[in-house]
Amino acid sequence: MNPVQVLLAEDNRGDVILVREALREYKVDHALRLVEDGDQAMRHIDSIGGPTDVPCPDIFLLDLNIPRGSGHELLEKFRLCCPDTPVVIITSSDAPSDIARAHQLGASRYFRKPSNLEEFLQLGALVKELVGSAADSR
Amino acid sequence: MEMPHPERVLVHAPYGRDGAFIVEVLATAGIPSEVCPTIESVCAELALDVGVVIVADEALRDASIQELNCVLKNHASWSDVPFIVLSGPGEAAEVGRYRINLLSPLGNVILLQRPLRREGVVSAASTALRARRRQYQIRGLLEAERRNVDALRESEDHFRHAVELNPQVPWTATPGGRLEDFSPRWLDLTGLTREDALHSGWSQVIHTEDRGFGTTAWLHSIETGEPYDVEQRVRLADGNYRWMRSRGQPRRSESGQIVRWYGTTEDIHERKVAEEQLREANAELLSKNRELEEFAYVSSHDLQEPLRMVNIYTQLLVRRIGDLLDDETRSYAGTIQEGVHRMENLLRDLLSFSRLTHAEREAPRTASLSGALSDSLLALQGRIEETGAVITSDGLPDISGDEAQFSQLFQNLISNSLKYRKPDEKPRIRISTKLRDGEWLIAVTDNGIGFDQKHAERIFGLFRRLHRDEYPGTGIGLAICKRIVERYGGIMWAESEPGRGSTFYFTVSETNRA
Repeated sequence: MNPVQVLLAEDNRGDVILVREALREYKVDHALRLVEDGDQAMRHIDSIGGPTDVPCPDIFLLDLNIPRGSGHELLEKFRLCCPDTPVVIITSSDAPSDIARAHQLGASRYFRKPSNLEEFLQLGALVKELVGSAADSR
Repeated sequence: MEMPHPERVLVHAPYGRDGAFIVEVLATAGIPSEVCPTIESVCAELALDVGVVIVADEALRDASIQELNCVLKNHASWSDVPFIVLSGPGEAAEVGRYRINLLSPLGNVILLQRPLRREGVVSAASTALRARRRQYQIRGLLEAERRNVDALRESEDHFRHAVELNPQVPWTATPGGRLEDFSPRWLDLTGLTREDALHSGWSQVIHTEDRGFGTTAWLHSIETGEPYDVEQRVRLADGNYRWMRSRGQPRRSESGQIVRWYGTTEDIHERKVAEEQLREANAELLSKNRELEEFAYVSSHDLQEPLRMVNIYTQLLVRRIGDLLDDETRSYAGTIQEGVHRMENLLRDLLSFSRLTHAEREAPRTASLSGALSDSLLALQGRIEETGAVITSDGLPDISGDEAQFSQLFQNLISNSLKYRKPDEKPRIRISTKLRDGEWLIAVTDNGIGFDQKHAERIFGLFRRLHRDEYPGTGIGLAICKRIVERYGGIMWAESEPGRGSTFYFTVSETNRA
């Protein structure tokens, strides 16, 4: 089975490591493509389906508060080219307006960054579940 | 006999029966009279003023006429005491003329010829009394007139002093709005000549920026008769401008026509400058305050992030290498995490505190205080069971506000009461309510350890804690309560005594009933 292609938009190195930990914890064999700000993320999304034939990832983990860009805009753009890819919003914002907007734009899950390791590692289980069900439906 | 002077009738007829006859006749006619036996007594009475003197011709010698005259000279100019002189019967015309000359110093003389007849006596006396009464009336008018003149003079004098010494500049203007007169102070202030000032009116020395609205306001007042009141900058003789306030009111005739405008112009520069400074200082304070609140909001939010990292990575470290560590070193990780937790609590409370000011104002909603209280009791269920607390409440009203915030308010107050309970007594908390001047007064009373009333203000401050060492807490709870209450226009305070429990009061306005 091919490794799960994970696109991660996250500027906090600490969280990047934790995402890897979580994937490893739940034994998700993965290849991580990291974009660290809005510009990078936008360039990557633009290249999907372009001449270089970058495919849609298997899952998109998006920090809503990414610098140099709007997480919501990225999400909207991503949804246009990859309508079926599960998207998990990972964020420290629990503002109801942010959550509602993310769902409206087609986010599959909203993962509020916890301050507890065990809870953070649950992200791995979540990815496994989403990718699994996406794979099943394919 | 006490009677008004103009009514006094003196009778001096010492020889024969005339005196007694006159007194009797006048008494019958309802005119009281007094008999004066001597000319001295007549003079004495005259000095006190009388209405009429009836005197027998034969009692008047030259000397006594002189005496009478001396007294009469001292009378006021309006006074002209009538004398009825009883002349002898059938006196020759010659003698009569002589007598009249003799009597002329007395002035107002009526000759009444003897033999006396009743109607003649009564008629002469009442005519003379009537004339005398008239004199007194005239005196009254004269006095009123003089009082008016005096008052006018006094008022003018007062006005002149007021005008010349007053820091204000009084002025008058015609109904058409032309400046008519003003205090000379205006010339001192502005350096204008009187001619200049009268011809150019005020406008010449008004700051160009203020001239427009000043003129508009003046024209408006002239047209409508509404009072005039403007603040404008006036150029002084030294070229500097000062803020002055000009006010004017019309005086109207009885028919309502404007007769003249009266006004004053006063220097309000100091006040104006102070006001301006106050406004600036206030604006600066407001913006500083906003910045500070913004800072509190942003920082409490952003500070949570690194803290989360510290916490998670400590856990990660323990997870990775925990097996290699001895117990003591592992306990260090616990200490780190304890610190992190306290910091997290602080930040969470700070965040919810600053959110209260930050959150957008929502349309007023109806909140049930009973619902808010039940929610808070549910949230505190564990603590309540643990401490065996007995919590009772009146029926609570519906109010305008956010129910969740009032739930937080109750939660903070009750958890406060539970925290500061007496160690040897079950906590009893009573929530009572009453309507007072259109607002609800809610009281939360406990039987806890209480505090000294002198701290009653301080405890609502941010991070203020009276019992820092014995009790855990962030010191934000009561500050949040107060802010919630104030957000809805209420006030909050506390009353307590050490060892006697505490009562926290707050007010909320009644729901706006549709």
